[in-house]
Amino acid sequence: MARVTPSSTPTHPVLSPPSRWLLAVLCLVLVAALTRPVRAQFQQPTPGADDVGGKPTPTYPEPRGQVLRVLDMVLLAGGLGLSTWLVLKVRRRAWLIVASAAAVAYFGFYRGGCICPVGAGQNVALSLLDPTYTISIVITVFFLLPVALALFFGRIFCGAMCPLGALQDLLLIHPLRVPRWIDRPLRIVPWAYLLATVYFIAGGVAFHFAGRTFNGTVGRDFLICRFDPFVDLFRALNLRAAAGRWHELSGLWSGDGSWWHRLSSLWSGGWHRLSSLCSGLFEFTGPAWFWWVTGGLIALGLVIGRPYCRWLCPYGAILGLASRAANRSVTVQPRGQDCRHCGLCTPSCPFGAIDDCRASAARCLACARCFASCPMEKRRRRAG
Amino acid sequence: MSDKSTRRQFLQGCARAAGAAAVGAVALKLVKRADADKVWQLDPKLCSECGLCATRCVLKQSAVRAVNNFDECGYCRICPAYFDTTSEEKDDGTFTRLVCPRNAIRRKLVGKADPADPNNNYYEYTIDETRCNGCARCVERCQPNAGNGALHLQVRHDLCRDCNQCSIAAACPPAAFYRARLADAPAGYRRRGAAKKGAKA
Repeated sequence: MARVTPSSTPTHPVLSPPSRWLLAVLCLVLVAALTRPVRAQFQQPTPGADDVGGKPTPTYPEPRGQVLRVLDMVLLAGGLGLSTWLVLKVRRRAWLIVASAAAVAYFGFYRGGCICPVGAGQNVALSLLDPTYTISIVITVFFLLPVALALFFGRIFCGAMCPLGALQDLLLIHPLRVPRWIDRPLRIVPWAYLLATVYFIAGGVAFHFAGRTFNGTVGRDFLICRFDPFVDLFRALNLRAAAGRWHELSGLWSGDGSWWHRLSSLWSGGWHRLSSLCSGLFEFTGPAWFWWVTGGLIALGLVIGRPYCRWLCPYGAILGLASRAANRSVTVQPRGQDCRHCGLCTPSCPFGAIDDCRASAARCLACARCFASCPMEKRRRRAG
Repeated sequence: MSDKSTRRQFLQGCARAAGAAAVGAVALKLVKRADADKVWQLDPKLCSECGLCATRCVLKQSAVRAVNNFDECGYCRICPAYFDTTSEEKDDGTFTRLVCPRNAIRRKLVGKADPADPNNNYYEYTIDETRCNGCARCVERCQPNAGNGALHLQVRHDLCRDCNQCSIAAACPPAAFYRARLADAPAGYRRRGAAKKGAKA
């Protein structure tokens, strides 16, 4: 293209002065806008491994092994079997307290409240409604095993193996009797909660099938998990993190030289390290307002037997329904003996589950408290 | 009395049988299509580097971490994910401020140093996972056109509590956070722009 040389100076300026200013400002803005991305162009081709003296490989840690997941299932099955034996055969609360503490320690604090049969029902419901949502056998068993057991023996799971129930039961120090007119209406709440839970899961599936793509998990809300009042407490004591830092604890006793040297070094530097280790043990997570719910339920649970299990737990509603069919559920008097209708057992139940000297299968939480109050049971214990 | 109790027992037996059948049916249906255990995973291809991973995890320090895929990393002297290139420039061409708010990226000179042109030198960037909380600020700046897209977010399965309902997944805007089988995990590890792999100039 030939270069055009101006033959004559233009008599009129191409742009009026205000427009020229505008153009200059626009150019400046354009330059300013362009410089940053240009400066950010640092993209380089990746060098060969020899150029950089060998490349490290990024690590991707493995999750909890399949064997350990199956172990959860085995421990639940074993725990349920043990609880059944303790409640129906041994009939002593002391051993059930040990089992409760073990369940709180393992399913609660160690597993952090996940996996739990109470929440597993949501996965089962979602999987039944949405075939693309597949779950493992472990989750299915976690939900179904306590229900199957309840069909024959009542709510044995609630007695000790449920970490939520066991925690409340261990903290129940002075049970007060709740008047019937408060207790009865509140017993409807678990059913409403259960309906709401299924609605939120099914609603999510409906959105899913309708092709709503804004977020796959919105609508498939797991209410029970979201409003689990004790899971934040279980997560607060991070035993898994503590297990990972075990070597630091063993390092406290390291050091060379004599026993005296070791002991003095433990005394001088050990406390500091031990306190830092302990502060790493506790992690207060989750929304702050929810700690009020947790604290409130625990405070209430000190004087009122298991408020969550009786008036909130949706899984308890399912188990209660299944327990109505049970043929070998808890009886206050030793099995096979006739009740003398002395009425001593009724006030011994902190959950108001004994009507006319009979433990209501649907409401009995298999805590094994009432047995000690029964004269027939006392006779049995003396005899054997 | 005994007549009433046998009737009651009969009804209970029927209910028990029905309940057992229901439990069996659910078990059969779910076990037939049972899948191996799935774990929460983050798909870097879908990740929008919004930063919610750092704040929404139930853990104080999120179980999500930034990971450098060294096969993609340019080993640049001025890494846009390391230096805040909008901050004041120093005399040697580096910048006064760093991108990482937790100072979790380690920068190390590797390979043969070229004193004539420092831009020819290679620097290795590693993530200090005790500090990183998965805020994705470095990942955002490593995206192609600025960087190579070597940095990506990953769920650290040894830290993840595997909650039944992951609070990050519930919040994730592009739904990049979902449960996937571990066998499918390598698919999740593929980053955005992985098609450029092997494009070595």
